[in-house]
Amino acid sequence: MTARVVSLGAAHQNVQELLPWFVMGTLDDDDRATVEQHIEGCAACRGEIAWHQQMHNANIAQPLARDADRAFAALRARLPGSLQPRPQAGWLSSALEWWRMQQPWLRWSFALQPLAIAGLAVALLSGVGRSAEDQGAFHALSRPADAAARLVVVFSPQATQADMRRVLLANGAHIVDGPTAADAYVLSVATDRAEQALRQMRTEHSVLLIQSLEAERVH
Amino acid sequence: MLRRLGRSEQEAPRNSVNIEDVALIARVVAGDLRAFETLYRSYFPRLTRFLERMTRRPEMVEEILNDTMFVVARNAHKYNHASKVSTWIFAIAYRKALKALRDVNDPVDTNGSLDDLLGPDNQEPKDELLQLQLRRVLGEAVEALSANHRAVIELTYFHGEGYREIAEIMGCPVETVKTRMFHARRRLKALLPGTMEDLL
Repeated sequence: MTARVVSLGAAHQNVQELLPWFVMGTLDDDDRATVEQHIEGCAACRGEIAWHQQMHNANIAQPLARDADRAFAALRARLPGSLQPRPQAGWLSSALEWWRMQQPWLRWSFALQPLAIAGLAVALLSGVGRSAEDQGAFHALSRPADAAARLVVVFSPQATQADMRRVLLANGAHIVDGPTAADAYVLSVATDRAEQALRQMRTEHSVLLIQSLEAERVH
Repeated sequence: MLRRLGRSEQEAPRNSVNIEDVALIARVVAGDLRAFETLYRSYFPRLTRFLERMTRRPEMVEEILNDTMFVVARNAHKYNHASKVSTWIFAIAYRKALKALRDVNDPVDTNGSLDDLLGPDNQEPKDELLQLQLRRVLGEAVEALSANHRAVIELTYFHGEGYREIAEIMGCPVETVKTRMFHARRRLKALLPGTMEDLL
């Protein structure tokens, strides 16, 4: 009799311990069968089931609202090297993925484009269609080719503004830049007058130094 | 009154989730940052809730969570498929939480007093407020439990873990899990005001 009471007490205790997971449906089949068999005749356990159900439904407190983006950003910098972004691989894989998405004809045109560019570059470098005189000549992009020549001039310290004005007018020149740190001015002269202007200005007392900036074209 | 889901009914979605998680872990091992971010965002709400309830220290939660997911990232190759991915991750989170609590000398096995948590206004709640206060008082009663008891409560009722999974997470025998739950229940009975206990 005593042994039977102890056994029943142990069974009741065992079922009581299983009830939370019975309510949650997370028991395996054997445990669930044990509980179901016991609760048919045990009012105390049926009462406990209601309590566990209420615990589950109560859901207690809701967690605080948290910013997953910010939290992940904080972790990201600490991640192991294998999970750190690899720009080179990422760029390459992105490019390959983009390439695979293109139409075949477009892929051909993209493939031929570098060849065309290379051909043009070779033609330019080999000087095809250009005179020897043109080669090496400098053309500023801001002015038409052959429109004017550039001279650099340094006036003597005694030269007055009137002297400078007279020299410039006499030679059809005008100042386009300067004075530089060495008190030099850059003059612009029509190409066909550049050589004569150069010679003429070298004779002027008010001119210390005059030189062409386009030596190969203006002598 | 009580609808119990059959184990097979509950297992199907869980298995599906676990298969997805296993696939993500495999991609993380291969160095896929996007897979890791997906896993992180998937576990973020569950882990924050678990850690908040277990530690009662909201200010520590994100740090413990990130420490947990850092270990997941670093040791993804060590996941051995013996348990569900969620069990593996929660086990890491549980150990990290225990360590964090010990670092701040917060006892993990000692129960607190509900009187410390309830203010004088809460000692004799009015009848009309009982239902509204039930959830809060119950939450406060759970907070008065030890960290280990809170972890069992949280994993059982709010994360749907079986006692075997909880034993894996907490690194203890299944009998210990059952005993902790049983004592947590007894402790709650003692902590809750009589009117509240009657409602439950």
